[in-house]
Amino acid sequence: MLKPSISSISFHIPKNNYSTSFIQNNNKDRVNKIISKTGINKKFSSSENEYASDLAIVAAKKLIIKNNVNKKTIDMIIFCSQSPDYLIPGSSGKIQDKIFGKDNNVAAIDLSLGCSGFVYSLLLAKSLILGDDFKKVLILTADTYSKFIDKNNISVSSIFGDAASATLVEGLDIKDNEILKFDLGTDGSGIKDLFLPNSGSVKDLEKNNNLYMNGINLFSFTLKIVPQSIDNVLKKNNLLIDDIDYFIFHQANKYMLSALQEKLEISSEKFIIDTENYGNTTSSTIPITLYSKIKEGIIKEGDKILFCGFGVGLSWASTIIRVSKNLVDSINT
Amino acid sequence: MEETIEIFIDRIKQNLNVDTVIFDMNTPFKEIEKWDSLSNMGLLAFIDQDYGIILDYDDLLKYDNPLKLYNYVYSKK
Repeated sequence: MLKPSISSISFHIPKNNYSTSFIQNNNKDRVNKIISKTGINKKFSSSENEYASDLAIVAAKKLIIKNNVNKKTIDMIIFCSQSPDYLIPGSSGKIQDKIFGKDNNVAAIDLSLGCSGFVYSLLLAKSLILGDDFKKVLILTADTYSKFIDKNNISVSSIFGDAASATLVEGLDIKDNEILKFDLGTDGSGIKDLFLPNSGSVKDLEKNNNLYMNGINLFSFTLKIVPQSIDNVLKKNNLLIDDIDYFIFHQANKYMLSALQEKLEISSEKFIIDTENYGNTTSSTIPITLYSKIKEGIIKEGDKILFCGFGVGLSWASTIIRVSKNLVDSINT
Repeated sequence: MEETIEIFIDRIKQNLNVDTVIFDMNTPFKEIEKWDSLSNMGLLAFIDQDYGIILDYDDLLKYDNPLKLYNYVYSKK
């Protein structure tokens, strides 16, 4: 039986300067304090007529061209985003059209998840390949939260940046499993701790139309759930915390990640905090961080990486992967 | 042994870098000089790390000064 493997990753960042120090001109002391605590300043936003689907299309094309992927061999697109072009229909159809054109023999679905979305997508891709219906699944993650944010709300505008990633998962005839077992969960009682009012059928009359975040409840949720999920995923895979080479969590912000690192007692060498270049790009932070750390030569072939995505939903998902030679070669080519 | 409320306040001051600010057990957190939303996060992390109790937004509204929080923390221990 073919085993699922992450064989290539690419990503795309839009061009507009959306750094916190650029969009916040007032109260410099407070702005600098927030930048120092969150570890986020530099980030980017999409243009007015540039949507998450457009960013995902660029990321996908980069991956296909760089790795000489025959588009006809891709069986399925998973588009993970909470910034759809329309409520009806999903955006994966537009992506199929722009990338595959008349080659319409490709399945396409939208997945509405944020910070846990990449790991969820990985589980779907793995399951579809193991189910023997598909051999190549293209995961696309993208969000343009900048379109939903009131720039004057510094607690939200200082965190999020726009981005997209593309990850090719394919079934290969390999000896060992490279995408190991998962731990996932949901706590819908926190649905309004991070949400966009009036964005669907419900009319939230008491709220404006900007992204709302209850940072305290998100922090509380994270401190409670992430250590449990890490414990669960290690047990499911019969591994100990010391067996993991690197921990790549959703790059929410430095403050939250540092609190988790301290709570989990993981060394700074193994616990990756990489919020400085693009900010919190929701479902794209994990693939972008993995790509960057392989490119920098820190993560190498065979390393065991523990992913944990957590946030909006409230939702969480953890898994462990072994980095393949194909992925390292693809990124370093 | 249970620490005194004075020691509890001192530890809040040290952990949240407000050690030069004067406040007492009845001062609402939000009225403490230099206190902001990041201080609430810091308080959450401190109480979790040192007392093993994870507070949420409603808790911070309910236990909104050092004395109320101290009594809550020691009622849970």
